[in-house]
Amino acid sequence: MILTVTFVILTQFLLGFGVATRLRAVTNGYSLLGISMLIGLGLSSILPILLQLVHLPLAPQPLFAGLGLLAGLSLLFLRGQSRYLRETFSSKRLWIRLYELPFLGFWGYLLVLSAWKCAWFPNIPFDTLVGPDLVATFAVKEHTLVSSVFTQHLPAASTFSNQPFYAPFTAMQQIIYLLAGLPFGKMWLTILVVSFGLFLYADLRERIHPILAGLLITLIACSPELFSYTFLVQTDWANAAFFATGVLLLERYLTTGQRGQLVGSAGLMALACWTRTETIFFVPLGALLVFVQGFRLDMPKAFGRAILYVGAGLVPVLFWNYGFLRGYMSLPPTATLGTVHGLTNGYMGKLLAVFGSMNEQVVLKQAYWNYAVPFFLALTLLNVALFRDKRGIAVLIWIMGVYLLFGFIIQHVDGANIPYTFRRGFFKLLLLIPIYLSYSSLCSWLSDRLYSWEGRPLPVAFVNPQPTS
Amino acid sequence: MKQQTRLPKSSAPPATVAKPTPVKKLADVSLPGNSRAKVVFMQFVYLGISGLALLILTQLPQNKAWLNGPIRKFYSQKHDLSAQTDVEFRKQAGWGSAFAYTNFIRQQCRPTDYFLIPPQRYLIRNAYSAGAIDGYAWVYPSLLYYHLGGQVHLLDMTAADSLLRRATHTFWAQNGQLTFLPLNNQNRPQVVTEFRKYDPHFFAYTPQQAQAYYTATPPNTP
Repeated sequence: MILTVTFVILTQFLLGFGVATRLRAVTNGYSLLGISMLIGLGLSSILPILLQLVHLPLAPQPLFAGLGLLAGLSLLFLRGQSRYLRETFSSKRLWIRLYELPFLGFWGYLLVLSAWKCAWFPNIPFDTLVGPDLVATFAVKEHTLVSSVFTQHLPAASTFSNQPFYAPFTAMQQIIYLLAGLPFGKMWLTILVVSFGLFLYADLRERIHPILAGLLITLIACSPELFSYTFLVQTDWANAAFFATGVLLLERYLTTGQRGQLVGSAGLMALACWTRTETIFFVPLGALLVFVQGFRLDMPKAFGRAILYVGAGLVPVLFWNYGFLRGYMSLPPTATLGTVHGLTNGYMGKLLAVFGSMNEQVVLKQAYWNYAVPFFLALTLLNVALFRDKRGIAVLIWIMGVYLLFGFIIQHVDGANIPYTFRRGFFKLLLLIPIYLSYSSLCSWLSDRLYSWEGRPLPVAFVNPQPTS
Repeated sequence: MKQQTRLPKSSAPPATVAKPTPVKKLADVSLPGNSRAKVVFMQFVYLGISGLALLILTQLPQNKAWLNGPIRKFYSQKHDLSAQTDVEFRKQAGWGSAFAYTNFIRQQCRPTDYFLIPPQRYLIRNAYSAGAIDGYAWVYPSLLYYHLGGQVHLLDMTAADSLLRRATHTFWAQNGQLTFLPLNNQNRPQVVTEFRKYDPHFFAYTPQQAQAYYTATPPNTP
């Protein structure tokens, strides 16, 4: 089992490493390692569907062969990237300072616990047992995605959840790790959390002083609800991680205009949609930012890029919901995958009530997020009051836009609700908090002071290694 | 306040959309004039600062309560349980009563048997205390299929009469407790008639929802 799990993790990493290196979207080794694993996890989740479509059984041998083949193909992207890799992994970018150790130790203290709980316990959340894990368990038992869950159980059940039909990333990862021999699968979640944490911290400490980066991440690490879902398998943590990584790469693109960052951002947004379908409603925010960034120079090109950005997110949504579920398989006749409501009487009143409940039940509920939201609001106001500039405003647009769109989703989509959909959907916003604050003038100013007192100059952010060709 | 940062403005109209920012070498080295001793000294000063900042953040009331409450409890749990590697033991610990009931069904039934799923309202109404901890959420059809799929046929009260006549086992409430009841031609009609009084589509997903149903309706209301 150890051998097969190691093989799966290694091939997933290499699959992402080739792609991430080719994109050159990040500029330091830790970020590259983190984003490689994230991309590898995302891309490898397509493999069980590919095996199904070519009529191969969902069994260890075909899966491992597929992972090995994909990893090998991805490594072809490394050709000509040696200069980029040398610069990215140079010791100056990887050097850990003494004062970073307390933060690393504290996160380690939390992550050890999270990893143990994730590995030791079986899946517990109701939605997981009747959704992704149900699909994965029977796919592994019966060596097919079109298992008895879809052919016998659901058509005969009087009541059933729409979770088995939900975006497939979680189910596919469960299949991969169950086939690797783990009794409950699940380990992919720990790997995803660690990878995202590594990526985020490395990105932040590149832009602001590591002490500030450490504090910002500790602020969200101390969110009980976010922490719980680092060991409770659901769709939301992975969705938030892909989404926040996509936002960060887009922010980099808006600053540098580097195409690899735009492609990477669009790809990660597509993976976020592959993880939770409603993410597609948020993707147009990114497309809008892409358009606004470029339309003064080249209107058609900016428009085309914005369309492609949305298109990338639409591909997994359309493929899964229409190509696979309705085309390849047949949905049970009584399945309802979310009905959309139109305008109703007293529309604005109801909408305002929705936002009120969102704030009361989720955003301002301190038991969920401890100090993350109050600190974010206070620091944002302080930043606006002191600096009155637009730095980081694109991330703030994402935060505000996602919040507002959630209100409309809850108002219009049957099944979307505040206690579950928005509570866990809020992870996306929570992960954007340190990203926004790291871009704020307040943090930049504080970083300057800290670097100055420390006796070393501010490292230049966004150092983009040049193509070697 | 004067801006002193050197970060590029992300929201400013880009002057060079298609061109990457010019390459600058990372200047992450000590400033001239700083002795090595001073650099090392400052590293320790900053170590103190970061440690103090972390301490303050983790000692804020909510954070402290969380770290001393659930996190400490989880570590105790890890200490107590991590030596146990048996998968069945871990399933029991994770799934609790759902595992106990479904394991019992698995032991009692053969693959050719038909287990009739009692309506959840029937169980809540007639044996609330015995299932208050989970509100009998384990009778959700997909949850039973997750635990039992293929090991026994599952029937619920929406099945056709011809299928209901095949039911071989169910759970029956007696004196506030559940008993595992083998069904035969004599007792099956009575059981089906009783179960039919309860809405088969109702479902309480949480113990709170089950309690709300139990307390909101009069005792003899199905």
